[in-house]
Amino acid sequence: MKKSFSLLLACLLIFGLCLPSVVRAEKDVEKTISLPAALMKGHTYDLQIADGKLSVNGESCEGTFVAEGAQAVLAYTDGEGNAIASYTLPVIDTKESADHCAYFYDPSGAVAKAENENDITLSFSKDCTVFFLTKLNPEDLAMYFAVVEEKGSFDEVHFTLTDAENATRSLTFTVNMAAKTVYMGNEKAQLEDLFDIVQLRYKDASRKLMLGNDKELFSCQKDANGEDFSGFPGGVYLTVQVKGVKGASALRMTRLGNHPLGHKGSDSPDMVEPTVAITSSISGTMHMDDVFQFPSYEVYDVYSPVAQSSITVEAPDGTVYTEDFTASQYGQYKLTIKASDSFGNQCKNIKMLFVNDDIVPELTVSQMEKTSYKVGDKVKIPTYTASDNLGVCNVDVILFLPNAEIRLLTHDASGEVTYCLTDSSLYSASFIADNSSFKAEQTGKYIIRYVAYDDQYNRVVQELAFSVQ
Amino acid sequence: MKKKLSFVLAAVMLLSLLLCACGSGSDTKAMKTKLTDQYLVQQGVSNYVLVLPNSAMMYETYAAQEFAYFIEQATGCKIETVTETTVPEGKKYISLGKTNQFMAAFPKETLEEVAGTMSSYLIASKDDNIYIAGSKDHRGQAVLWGVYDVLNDLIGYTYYHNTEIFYTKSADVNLWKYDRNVVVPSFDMRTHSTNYIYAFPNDTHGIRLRYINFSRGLEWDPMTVGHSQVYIFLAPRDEDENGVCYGQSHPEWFLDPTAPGVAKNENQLCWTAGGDPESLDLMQTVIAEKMLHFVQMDSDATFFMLGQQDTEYVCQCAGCTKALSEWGGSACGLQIDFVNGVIEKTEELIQQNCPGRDVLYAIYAYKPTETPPVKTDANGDYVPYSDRIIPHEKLRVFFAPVRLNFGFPYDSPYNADAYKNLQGWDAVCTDEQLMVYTYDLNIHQYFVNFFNLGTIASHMQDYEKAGVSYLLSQGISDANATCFDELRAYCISRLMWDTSLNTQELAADFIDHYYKDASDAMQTLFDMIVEQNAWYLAVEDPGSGVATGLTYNTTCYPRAFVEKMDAQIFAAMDAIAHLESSDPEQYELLKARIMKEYLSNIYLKMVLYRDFYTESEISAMKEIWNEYISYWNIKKGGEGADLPDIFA
Repeated sequence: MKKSFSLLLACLLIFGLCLPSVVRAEKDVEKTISLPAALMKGHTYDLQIADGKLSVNGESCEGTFVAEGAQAVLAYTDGEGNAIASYTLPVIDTKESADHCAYFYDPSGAVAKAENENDITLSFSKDCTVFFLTKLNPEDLAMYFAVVEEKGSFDEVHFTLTDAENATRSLTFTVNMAAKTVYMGNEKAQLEDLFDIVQLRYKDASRKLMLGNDKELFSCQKDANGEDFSGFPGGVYLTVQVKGVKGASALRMTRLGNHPLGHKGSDSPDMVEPTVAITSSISGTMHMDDVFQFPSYEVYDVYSPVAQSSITVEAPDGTVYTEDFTASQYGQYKLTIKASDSFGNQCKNIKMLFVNDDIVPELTVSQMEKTSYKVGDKVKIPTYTASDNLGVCNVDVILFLPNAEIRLLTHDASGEVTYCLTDSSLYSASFIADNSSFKAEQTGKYIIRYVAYDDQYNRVVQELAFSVQ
Repeated sequence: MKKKLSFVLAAVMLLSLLLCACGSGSDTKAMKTKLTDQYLVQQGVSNYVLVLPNSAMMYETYAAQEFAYFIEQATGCKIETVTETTVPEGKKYISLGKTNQFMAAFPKETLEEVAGTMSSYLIASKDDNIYIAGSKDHRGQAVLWGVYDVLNDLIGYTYYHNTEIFYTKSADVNLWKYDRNVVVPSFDMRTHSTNYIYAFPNDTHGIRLRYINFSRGLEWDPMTVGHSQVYIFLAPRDEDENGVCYGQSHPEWFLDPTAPGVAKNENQLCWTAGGDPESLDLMQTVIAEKMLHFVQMDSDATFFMLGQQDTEYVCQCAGCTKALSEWGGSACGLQIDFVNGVIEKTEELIQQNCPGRDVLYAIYAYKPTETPPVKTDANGDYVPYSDRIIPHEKLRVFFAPVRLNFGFPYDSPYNADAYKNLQGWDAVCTDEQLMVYTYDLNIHQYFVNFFNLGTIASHMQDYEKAGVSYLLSQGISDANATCFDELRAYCISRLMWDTSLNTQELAADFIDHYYKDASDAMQTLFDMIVEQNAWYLAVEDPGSGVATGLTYNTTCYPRAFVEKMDAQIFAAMDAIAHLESSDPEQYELLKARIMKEYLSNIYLKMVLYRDFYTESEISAMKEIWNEYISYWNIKKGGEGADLPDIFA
């Protein structure tokens, strides 16, 4: 059933910013399809939807396709072959990533774009909308801009982040320069110190909009539709709108994501490494016999196609896994994700995983020879035995003196014993006796504490007390 | 001049024995008996009043208020406060100060034993009345300290924290009987210099911990306290009567006469005025006149400081170099000689301008002046290097052993030099003259735990043996802090009063009362850190002490250890989970206390092991960090260092 005109308008407002040429909108699933405003020539795209099929320029597409020509017609059908929606997207030539201005796609053609070493300047004299063509990493998405001096004749700049997996999910942040205020729906926050550059950072893990100095502006609990918001799992498309333009105006865009904008002609078109976002949950702690499932991840690069990526886990014994595996060793596993873009810029993300052992060592301590001594007496330290299920077992024997001093007597690293109690650089001669005893110097209650612990610091404690008269 | 330590100790022990034999000894605790058949309050009613002198001193009045307040909190019974001339007929009383009732009950008591002291008090019972009296000095503080002790006996009053004051609630409070006794704490004056205490809106917090305030209290003149010699008294840019800067007219008075500012860490006075006696006399006069000004400005203060600058440097001019050879090479010998001259001139001015005013002066023995001007006699004992370096009777020496290894006791070989310095100052100063400025903080790493309370207790015992009258311990004084800061303050407060208390037991008692249902887990966390520090200092790196040298690294805090620290935090949270619905207020209070300690874990995880955590884990930690950094108003990461951006 066809939606009413107003609903269509609403849809356009929600996600139409990314869909300049929607042809049909007949089924609910269509609303969620999220596409860039235009494709980039030579870039590879995966724009499939679940339970649906895609054809590009009339040809069935399984998986990815490479954007070529002047435009691409994307037609989606459901599992039974019924049409869901089709889109005509222009294909923009970024000149193999060298034309950075082209990434700021302006369907109206009313925005003049220029790049220098420090920024990309967008100039305009009426309200306008610009789409950034690359899908961006929402984990830490910097959106830095400045108003060109004496060219600030406008009311507001809107930054809209649209979920690359669901066009109905978006956030819009509106900056009112005159009021030095940022709005998100009905909420507003002050730009405390409006320096030359407005530094907005969206952080998806905490779903917060921050300033560059990490001051929180908003906690994004609801999306632009007022629905509960839990983040952007598959990246975002950025749209910049300028409203209330009264005369010649210009914005200097200085940073997007991890990429400073601006470029020196002699430099490589892309000198910044990609970024990686792990998109499924992963815990830093596992237990023996747990099956480790490799997390899904997404690689992002602001300008370049991603050339390659890999994910591995290295076990404590050096075994390298590339597929799910069962944890069979205690200790530290290293998860590594590597990626590189088409210009050879590389990134490496490392996460450490632990397979924990929770079993405390066993400790047996013999009794004191006596429980009462005199000053000057040699006090024999009771012996102990200790063991751990994994073999490694450390034992610290610590003395608490009557005057509250704490002295380490011995440190036993799985049988390799350091005899601190005879270390004349630590303790005075009046205390030192031999490797198995010490001299009582003070009257009062002494406590010998035995602490046995394994590599995981599972710890068991026993104490013995005696007095010195 | 002080006698040898061993002789003094022997004399003190003998005197103690004699006093005990006479039944009028002194101790850090009163000798007392609980009277199980008599009551201060019975069924919420009391036949007692509090009696104050007609002209009660400030803290005596406050002592009555505190007593009445806590008894009412515990029992619901209001105990009236009256003056010595308005005691209602038939009422029993608790007499605070030198009241008519005290004089009548103990006509032979002169209070000579407590004269001049700030904290020693006499306590005694007679005819079911209780009497507490202290010296006429220091605004009657000793009586207040005595009241806190008595409240502890009566209702178990213990001040753990401003949000955790313990007392037993009951409609009945048994009376206690006190044998005549003079209670003398280990140190007569005590200060714990922490933001935790200083930031409190009034002095109640510090007072209930039985501290005096070093920076803004009544005892120390707040203008001159600290590194004041160049900062306050004589700066190169100060102008003489002709409008000429002293740096120009008398460059010989300064290490750097051209120094533009008076920042406390710069410059130093030349304590010989370039070796020119005439110039030295003028220099001392200028400072004495300034000192008189401060004395007149602050009519309350007892102590006025002439603290050297906080620098490693002292003047090396020809005059100083020559003089140093006369003082056994001790820069502090020079300083004492110089300050003695200033004091003589100041005292003359005081006699002329405000006769009867009795003040004391203090200098630091710190960094370049830490070494005492002593030599050894034929027996190998320390004696003053010469008569000229014996401090003026009104001069107090603030020995600040900043180079001490705070991880080890004084008798450890690591502290051999510091121990010699302590012994040397003990030989140069009388008991009253020797004060100690010590440290109990990890000065560059406020978020890294360390536990050397036991060692600090042993240091205190050595100070007590040396007869130190005033002990100031500098904790984290410029910011609120995590790392069991409240526990430390409580333990140090108790130890300064009585160094013989067991640190581990104090800590356990604090943990029990402060963390309540979470105390088992927090005790384990505390023990883990104690043990790890003991191991690290002895086996891995003795460092240079926690004040300035504690390292934190992956050896000291292995990742698995930090994870186990976390496990204790989580166990603590589990232990209080049941309160979330049954007692939400208590839950939030305990959660905030636990989360404060979790901040240290987060710090270690982010600084040492960031790669081990996913973005969502980091994000969760950041949320907690931001919330509780804000809740506890924590603003620094080390002395003078901003809060670290560990999530950058």
